[in-house]
Amino acid sequence: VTGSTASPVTGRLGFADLVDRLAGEAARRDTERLLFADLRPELRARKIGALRLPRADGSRLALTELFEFVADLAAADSNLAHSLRNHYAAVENAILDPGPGSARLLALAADGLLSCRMTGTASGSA
Amino acid sequence: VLDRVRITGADFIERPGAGPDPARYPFTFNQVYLTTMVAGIANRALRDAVELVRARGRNYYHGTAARPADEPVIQAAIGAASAKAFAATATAAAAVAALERSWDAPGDFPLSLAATLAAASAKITVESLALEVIDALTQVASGSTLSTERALDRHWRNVKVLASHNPSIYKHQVLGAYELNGTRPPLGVYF
Repeated sequence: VTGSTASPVTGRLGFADLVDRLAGEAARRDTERLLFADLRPELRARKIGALRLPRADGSRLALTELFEFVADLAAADSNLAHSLRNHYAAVENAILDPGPGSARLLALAADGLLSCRMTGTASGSA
Repeated sequence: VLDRVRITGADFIERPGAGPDPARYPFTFNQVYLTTMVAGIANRALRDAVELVRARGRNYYHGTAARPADEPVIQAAIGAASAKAFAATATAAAAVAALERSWDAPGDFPLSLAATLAAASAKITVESLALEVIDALTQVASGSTLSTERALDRHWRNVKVLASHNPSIYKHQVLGAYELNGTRPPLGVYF
């Protein structure tokens, strides 16, 4: 993409257009407090959460490449990059710790699902 | 609020690092991810600074060049910020490389320890560098720093959102205790 600020990895993954679009929209999303609900269907369809799953030929995106992509996303709009953090972490844990739950999460991620994580503090603590 | 969500046994996922003798620090990925984002913001702040200076036709009357892009103090500020953004990128990448070495050797606890120590060092350093780059942006942007439309102040806010997730002042102590006494970082979140 001419003029794209995305790294070669992001270009190879086919996300240079997304990165450039996010970069252009970031200031407006910030000032107007716009979240990313509008982007979710596209992000799912483009399987942004499945980047580390094995490809058809058995190869996988290297961890270093995933992080190059994350750096591009963060430069474009760090809030979008941050919204994917716990999903990517869940995928990594599922790959490292095989089990029925992990297999299910990876299958859902392969379909484009983006997971989130919620934690809380015990009642009474701040 | 989530209400009446049906949860079955098949919905449970193993908690990372469970058990008394974990094979790895289970949350280092999350930390390296945060630091990578901060480095990304540093690079964006640099890019915004460069674009802003390039587009500007008028210098301060007490500057030494007609165009800000030809102004030595502006050039030096951009150059210093560029070096810092480069260092932020390289430092974050070093933590990623340590994490990858750990990922490639599941069960190798010393590599996981090395990765979490790298992640902690990188977090401290990258945060500091990114804030310096953002400060340089505010110097060269002068009044435009405050433009609502540009929202340049979001870079500072976004770094703080990510960095205050696990404040560096605690990481300093944990790293120092390791260096001095070999005390390992805790195995829970933030490491």
